Amino acid sequence: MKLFYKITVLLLLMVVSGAEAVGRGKEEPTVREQMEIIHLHFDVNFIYDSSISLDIPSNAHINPERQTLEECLAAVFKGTGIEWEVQKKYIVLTYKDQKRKPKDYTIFIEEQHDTLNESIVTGLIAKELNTTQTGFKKIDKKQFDLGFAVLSSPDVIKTLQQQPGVATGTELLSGMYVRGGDGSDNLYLLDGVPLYQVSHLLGLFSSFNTDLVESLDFYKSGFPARYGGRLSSVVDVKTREGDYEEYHGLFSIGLLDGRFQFEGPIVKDRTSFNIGLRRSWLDVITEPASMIISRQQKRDFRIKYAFWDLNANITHKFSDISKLSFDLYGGRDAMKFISGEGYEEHDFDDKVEKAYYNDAAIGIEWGNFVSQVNWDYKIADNHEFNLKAYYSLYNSLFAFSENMREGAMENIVTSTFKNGENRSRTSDVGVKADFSLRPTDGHHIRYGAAVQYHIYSPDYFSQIKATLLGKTIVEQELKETETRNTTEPAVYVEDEIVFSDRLTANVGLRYAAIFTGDKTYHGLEPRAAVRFSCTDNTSLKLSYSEMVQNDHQIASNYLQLPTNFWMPSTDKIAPSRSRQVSGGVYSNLPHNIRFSAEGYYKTMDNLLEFRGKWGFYPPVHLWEETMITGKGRSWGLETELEWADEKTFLAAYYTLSWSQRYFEEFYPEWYSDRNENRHKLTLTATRKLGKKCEVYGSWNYHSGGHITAEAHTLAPDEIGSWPDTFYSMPNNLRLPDYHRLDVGFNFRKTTKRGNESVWNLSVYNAYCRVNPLLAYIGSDYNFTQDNLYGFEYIGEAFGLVPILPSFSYTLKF
Amino acid sequence: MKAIYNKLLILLLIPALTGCRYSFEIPDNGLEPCICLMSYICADSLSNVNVYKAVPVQMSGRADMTIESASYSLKRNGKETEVTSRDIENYGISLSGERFKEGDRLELTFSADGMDMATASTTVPGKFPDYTAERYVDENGTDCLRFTYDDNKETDDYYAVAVEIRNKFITGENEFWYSNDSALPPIGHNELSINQFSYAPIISRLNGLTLYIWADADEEDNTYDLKYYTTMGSSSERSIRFHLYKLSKEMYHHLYADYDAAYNPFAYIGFSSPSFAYTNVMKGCGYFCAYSVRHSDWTIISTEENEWKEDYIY
Repeated sequence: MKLFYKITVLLLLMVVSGAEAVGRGKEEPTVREQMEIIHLHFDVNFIYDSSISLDIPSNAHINPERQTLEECLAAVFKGTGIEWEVQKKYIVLTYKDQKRKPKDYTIFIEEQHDTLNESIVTGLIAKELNTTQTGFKKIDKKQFDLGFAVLSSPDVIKTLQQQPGVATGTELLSGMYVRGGDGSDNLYLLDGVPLYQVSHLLGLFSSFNTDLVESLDFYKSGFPARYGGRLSSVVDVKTREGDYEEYHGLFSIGLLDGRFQFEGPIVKDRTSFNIGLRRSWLDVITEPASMIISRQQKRDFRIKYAFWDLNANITHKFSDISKLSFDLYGGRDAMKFISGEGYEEHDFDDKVEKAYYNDAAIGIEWGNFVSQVNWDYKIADNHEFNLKAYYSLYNSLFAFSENMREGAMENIVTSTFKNGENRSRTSDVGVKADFSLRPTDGHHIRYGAAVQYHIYSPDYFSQIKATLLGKTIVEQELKETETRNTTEPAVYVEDEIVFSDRLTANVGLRYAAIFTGDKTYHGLEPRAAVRFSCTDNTSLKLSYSEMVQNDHQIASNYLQLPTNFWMPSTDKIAPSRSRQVSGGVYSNLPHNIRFSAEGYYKTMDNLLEFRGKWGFYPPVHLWEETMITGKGRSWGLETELEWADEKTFLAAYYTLSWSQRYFEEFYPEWYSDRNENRHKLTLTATRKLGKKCEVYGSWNYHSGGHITAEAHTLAPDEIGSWPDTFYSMPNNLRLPDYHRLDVGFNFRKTTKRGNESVWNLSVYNAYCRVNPLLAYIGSDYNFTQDNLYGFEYIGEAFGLVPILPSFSYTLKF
Repeated sequence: MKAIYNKLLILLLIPALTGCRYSFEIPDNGLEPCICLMSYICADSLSNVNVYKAVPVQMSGRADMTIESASYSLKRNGKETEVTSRDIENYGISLSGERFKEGDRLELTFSADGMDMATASTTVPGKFPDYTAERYVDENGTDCLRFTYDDNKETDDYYAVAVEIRNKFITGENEFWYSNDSALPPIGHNELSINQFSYAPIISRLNGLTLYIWADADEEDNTYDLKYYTTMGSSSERSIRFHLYKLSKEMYHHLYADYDAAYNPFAYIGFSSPSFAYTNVMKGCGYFCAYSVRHSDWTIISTEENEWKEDYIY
């Protein structure tokens, strides 16, 4: 027991039961009942190991009206062998002979966001059991540190992609497709500010630096009313304030990237800072390597890629009730590809008789910049306030150029120069005010308002210049610019209601509007979630939520380019709306096993798809005409099974799901969504080997995604000719199943100076399964006797990601 | 040292730069042989519906393609119509019915040999509305036609035009011959490219003619500009005439899908929206759609004496 504590968190709520406990009169109350009284009067919660017996008689006579909290606690626990310690509004209980306090374990009250100071870190078990929301997962920094480091760098999105109900899409173009969503409908919040693009390096890394992440709340359903603006999920990432007492940090260097984080006080106990910086090393490898390839292939070939991001936080505490913080985030990815080729024909005198040269270059850049100011103020003990003002900018560039020259006798006869640039810029300025009020023990009311002003401004520029014998024969320029401004106000109120210790609910209402051009859309978004605890170890939950999305990612293909631009709803394109019902059972079984099963049904309206004349990018000035609207629906069942002891953690997540689309222009009936993975199974394991080593492994499997391919064929007109082929419906071909094993190893060591160092070795795709990046139906000759036509159709796939070993070294100081 | 460094870099990059192409067995996904309908119903004309047995591509060359016993029904505005059938080449059956008129709602069901019953429906559209056509030369020197027509704003309408060109050649005294062809998009413009300068009409083929299609939602001002050229060389006399179509919704989507399949390089590899895969045949494949057409008279546009004229109004 000293090594592993079952995590039990008790919320002593129950006005009724508390009253009953007091009202029994002649019966001697138990310690548990006394704790309930303390909880009610002082609004504190108790945290303790489940091995502590609380149903023992207590002869203490406490009077919370006249006694202090400490006096009441001293009276109740006197002679029980139980020690208590007040930590803010939590009381930590331990046995006197217990050497370790119940740190590292879950604190779970009726609201998910209550945390102690950082020495008490949220743990794992029973979270889902005690929260009201369905489809909710809380992940904290410690889980990131102990969890998987894909490519030797822990990552937020990669962690979430392991969750049930989250499809990952095509490898290398990976995104998050939550419960049938389309990837652009996830609300990514960095300290409450929305981000439009969260991927570095084709999705292998996300924009969130886990060195600064304090916790992450992930919602797939049962969305509280304080969130809005996206259809399918909420990823609410909170970063840490710096340490107010001491300076410390870490640096990490790995195969692909390096990280540095440093924090400490500026004014002790008053002002702190926390700063984190990451940068990839890939350009150090790719540029010289491409030069080598270039020399070997005797053509100009260069590729360069790098990303960086920076997080910074300064927080100043004016007093115990007032705190001001300033946060900054900046990140940028830049890729450049240059290719040059040509040929020359020489005459007998070795003079160039004919020549052809073609130089091409592609540049891709994207990045976010976010700055915000937060003021936290405690109006009263039960009433808190947060005011946030922020500016957010997302910009991207896709540029290409091509220079073709043809000549003879050493003279360039013709040349054609083409150049094109797609730029996109999305700026947000916003103010949010959030209040948190606990009027009674049975209610936790959150309410607030927000207003955002958006500017969307993509543009396209291209030019062509052609010359013949030095004379310009064609010179054209085209510039398309589109600017849209919108204003989005929203107000919300939600109440976390405790009806009894078995029944809780979170009900809320959000009203949001968008003023776009001459058009205004507005509406209510009801949210409700109910939890009923059948037993101490089993809960049933049910939720309903509606979400509205006012802006849309505009793309002409499924390449998921981070440079795709965003545009708002307009008079022609209405906001998207989703409705979701979700419910399930969540249980702590004997032998440290946790099990949950959750089902859902979701509908989505006004989804967008591109259907214009084909282009690599949608036309900027005609984007509304090229998008069509349709519907989506999805349903499924997600199960989680986890087991843990002090050294080992095992988990199995399974999803059975359906996801469909209806776009009348594509097909007159419902058809499967391209990212529908009927089965998804994730098996993870971590094991501590002694005090210094950890090993981990994760096996990810899911049914293949869908593409549209020829499904049926007729007889050919004659033997040897190719027959007509037909599509049965969109997304009719399921790709081969995806599976991948990642393994890793952490070796921890304490340096002579007492600092912790961590060596991480990891292998992505350990058994080198080359999962398809793209696939199609090909054909080949087949002259076997059983084939009448002399050819056959075969599936062909192309994969790009084999085994990827990597390492990192991290030193914490 | 430098050589070692170079080799090390290549070694590191091999995993990242190595692609792998491989074959896989096409999953059957529960696919069975199905009915394939192929029909463009033309208003006020006798039209056929060709029906074939389509088999999953995995069974190509190994399956019996004949249709043994078929049952079918063609309803016009909810009432059964008389249909005759005959065998055609490639193991198919051709269904022939009466002439259908504007506004007729056609519903076809066809089942055979235990295959799922295929169903499809379409509505015969009315005539292309009244129009004017204006010939002009654009700023790049390209021949253009501007059609201005009376579109009904209350309905979603779909149109198409084909420009037929007839060249008259005189090869000797009193000997001449005609050559007919379609007007084609300007050179290089029939395939779309990343260059957005391109004039990019949506084109398809029907009855041997190159068809330019559009929806009224695409053209707000009731005009459609067509740019074209002809591949024919010099001739003694050149004439053009228009075939102006009004398409059923199903036909527009089907032709659009054909166009997308031909020109969208992402279509076959799963990186494109599935607009190229349209079919309106439920539990089957193919197309069952309708159109109406009106034809202009031949107009001589150039002779040895009559050269190009701008702003020519028909």
